[in-house]
Amino acid sequence: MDILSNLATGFGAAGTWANLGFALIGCLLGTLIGVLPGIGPIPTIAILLPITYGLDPLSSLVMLAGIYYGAAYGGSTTSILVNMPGEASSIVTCIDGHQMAKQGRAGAALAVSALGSFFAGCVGTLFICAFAPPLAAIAQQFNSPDYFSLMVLGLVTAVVLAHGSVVKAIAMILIGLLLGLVGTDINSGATRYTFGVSVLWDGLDFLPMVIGMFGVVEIVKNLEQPDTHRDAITAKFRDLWPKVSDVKDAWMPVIRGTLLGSILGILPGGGAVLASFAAYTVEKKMAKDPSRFGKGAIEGVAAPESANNAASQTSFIPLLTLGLPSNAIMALMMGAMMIQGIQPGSAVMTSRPDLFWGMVASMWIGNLMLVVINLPMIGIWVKLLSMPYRFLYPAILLFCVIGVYSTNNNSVLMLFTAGFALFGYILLRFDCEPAPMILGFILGPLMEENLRRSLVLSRGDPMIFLQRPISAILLVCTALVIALIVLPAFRKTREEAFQE
Amino acid sequence: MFRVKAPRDFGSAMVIMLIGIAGLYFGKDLTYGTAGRMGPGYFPFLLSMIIISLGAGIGIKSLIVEGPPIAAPKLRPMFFVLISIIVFGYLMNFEIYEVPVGLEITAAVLVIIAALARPGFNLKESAIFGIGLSVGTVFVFKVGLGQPLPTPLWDASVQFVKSQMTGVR
Amino acid sequence: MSIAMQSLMRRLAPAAILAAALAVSPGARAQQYPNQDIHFICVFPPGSGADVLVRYFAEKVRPLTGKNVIIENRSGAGGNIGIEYVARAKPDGYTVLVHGASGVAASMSLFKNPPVDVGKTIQVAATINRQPFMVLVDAKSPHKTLADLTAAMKAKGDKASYATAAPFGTVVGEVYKLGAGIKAREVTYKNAVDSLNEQLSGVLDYSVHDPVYAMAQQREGRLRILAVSTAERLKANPDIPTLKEQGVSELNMMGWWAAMVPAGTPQPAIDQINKWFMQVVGSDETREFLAKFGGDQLLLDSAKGQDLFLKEIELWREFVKISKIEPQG
Repeated sequence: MDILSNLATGFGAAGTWANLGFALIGCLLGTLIGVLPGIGPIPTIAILLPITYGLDPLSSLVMLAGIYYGAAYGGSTTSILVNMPGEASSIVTCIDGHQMAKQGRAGAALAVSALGSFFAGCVGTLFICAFAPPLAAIAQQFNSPDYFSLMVLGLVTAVVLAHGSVVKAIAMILIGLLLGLVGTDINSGATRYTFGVSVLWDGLDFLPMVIGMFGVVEIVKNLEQPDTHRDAITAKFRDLWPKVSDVKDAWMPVIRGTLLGSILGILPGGGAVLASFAAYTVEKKMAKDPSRFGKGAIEGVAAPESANNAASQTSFIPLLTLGLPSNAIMALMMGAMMIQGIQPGSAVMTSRPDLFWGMVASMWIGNLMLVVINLPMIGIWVKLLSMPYRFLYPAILLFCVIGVYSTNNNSVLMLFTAGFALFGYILLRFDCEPAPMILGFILGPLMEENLRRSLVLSRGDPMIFLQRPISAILLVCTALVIALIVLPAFRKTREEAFQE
Repeated sequence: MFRVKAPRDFGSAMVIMLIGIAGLYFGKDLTYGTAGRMGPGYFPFLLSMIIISLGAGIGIKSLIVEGPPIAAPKLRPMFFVLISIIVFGYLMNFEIYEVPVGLEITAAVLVIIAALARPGFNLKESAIFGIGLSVGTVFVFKVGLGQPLPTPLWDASVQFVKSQMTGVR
Repeated sequence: MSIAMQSLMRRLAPAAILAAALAVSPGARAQQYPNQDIHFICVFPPGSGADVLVRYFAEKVRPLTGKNVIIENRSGAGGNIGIEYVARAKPDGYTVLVHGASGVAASMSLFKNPPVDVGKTIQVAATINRQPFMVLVDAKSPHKTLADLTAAMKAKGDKASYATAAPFGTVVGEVYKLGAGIKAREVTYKNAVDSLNEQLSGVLDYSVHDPVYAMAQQREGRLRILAVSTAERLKANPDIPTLKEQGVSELNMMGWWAAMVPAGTPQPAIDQINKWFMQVVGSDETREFLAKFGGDQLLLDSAKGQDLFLKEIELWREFVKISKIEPQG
């Protein structure tokens, strides 16, 4: 029973009063900042990192874990309440979560999201204990062609997200890919679509884009509606707790999302983002009545929230075993560890078991504390929404704008934010959805990079994508997903044609 | 002749095609390369072409299949929200005699301009609320989070209080 | 109207007092350096490897100054945004760029239109470290020395591939190829770690990467370092031979970090910054910290540092020519 003794070591190290205190502080701070609209986990951790410098390594990691999960949790809260994803992995949560909030079921959405996340966190922690070594070995096998195929799978999956036209969704993904190419091409050093503006040399920034297209557009959308309409929505917040039927609807999606997230989280690159998108897709496909999705289906909150939490948990695996940060947040955590003089990698597991297992235990503690802190606070977050909108929106706008500005203190970012807001507004008017575009934007550069690298390595032979087993399997999955998308859509359009 | 039957689809087709064409036009100087050694222009060219054809597809469909009309945009909310964001960026980097305008004033200005986005604008209410929020953001971002944002009024107040305290001693 | 004006004036009075307080303070500041918070500019985003280095020095320098040291991340455009910001900042010693001076020098040749002429607008106040780039092979590979690798690569001809992830890596890779007479094809990565899987699966024959990555991977027993790009061996890793020893190149390809200020900063402020960094960099703790990243301390006075910086600008023009890097812009 290696796992148990390992966990015992971990809880012994992380469970001291002092460390529990740091976990609590971390969770509180993380949630608080994460709840501020427009500030997701990445800026939150970046902002709060300096606080941990003065602590000893384990305490600092314990506190960071708290900040991390707190920020992610706070981010979902804003997704649900104000329809603003702090980062890509909570975009999906907005779709149904915010609809639920509009129907007066914000409490249920928040509670399901918290409990689902907690369950996923527990499973994720066990996952790390049991599977870290063998799974790291699989992730280690990923080469450029495999990454490329993984991206293709991720993008194809994203199409399902759009509840409008499939063709428009594909066009949006491709536009996202194109926007993702802005900046310096790493293969040749040539700059593309930069118009001689040096700010664009490293590409378009993510934050102005999401804040503009989601945050600002949401504000404008609300402002266009007459006040009475909105007040009618906010008046109905009574049931803060999920009903029995909600729990019945949610528990299977939670389990499915958790499993999916645990597996996808280990894969470098997409991690939590892919997991949340995939979990949503699976639920929509499995639902008896898929049309409920996008209109406040509780499965649409339960599954992706569990999936992204499980994935954020298991995405520690490549970092802790290989020293490879699999996404931006892990890169931040790696930076934090290096500040403490710890070089993440397999050596930590053997040379400092107290630290490694203490960290694993602290993840679980962080998750537990979040539930304990946040369930009673759901009422407070929901009340926040009943504040008159004429006060709420300037405050949200201000926090968003400062959040964007403080990423690198550059005023040009404000122009980008405004530009993307305008673009997002036009898309809204024409029934185009921004979510697939954002995923395309994130995966685009990675996809091109891996495609070109694969072909350089194979000296131009495209068969390399089928010769590598991992890549071949992923492409087969892609084909299956395409079949799933195309067939019903094909049927539907045919029916429409027949009706005419 | 042609009649646009689905204005929303037609509009989106125009936007999508415009982006594709822009992608082609601004990427025209990039080297194309070969499949084995793709130049920086290969992927953008491919993407732009597909985007244009998808846009064209949507556009043609919009001439054939009926669709909902475009909801009339309201200019006021969008206009003032955008202006407030741009003014924020401008003021944050603006200096008067080498003293930055700073977060305090900029935040309050943003709140006031943003308030104009709603009908029934009340200057007094917005100004009070703006000042309140401005104080709040200074505490959250500057004091709480230690972000390096310019806050001249706050700095001056701190200096003033400090000098008073040393004076007493 | 005038009553309204008066009441407005009365309301504005507190602001006027504050403004006056502000107007007075610069005079007071001029007396002694440092008299206000010092800003360290990091050109990488928070949490990145380089950010760690900047934060380390901010932590260590802070107690010496008696003031607060604030880190500002101004990332973007391959570091150019931060460099330009410092070059245009007020030359008062309160804005300090803590960054690779070799990288700042390289920006003059890597970009078609560098935003500022760094040789004229940036002044080195203190030097921090020097570090090489490293040639790496899989730890399981039979190539124990650079000569082994060279022989094998000659046999493999243009079927061989190697990884780089930075302009510096491209330069060292190209110099090695020219010197050894091999024809391997370069595969570029965004980060060194991205190339690890491919290197371990044998698709890549070797790689040329930064010492932080290289040292970590060698410690973990995954990769083996065959050579460093500096002309002399470093104290941090005295067992690893240099490219020069192996007869590949005479060039000294060295990355070095420095604390830099805008040109025109008063000499007393520069001397003060130099003194702080000498004390911090010279400590045993910092020596060990830097050695972990594969570098040695570099302790120079500001004049010698500036000298090295100006030479580095010229050196990079040559590097870029040798390795046929296309300037960006």
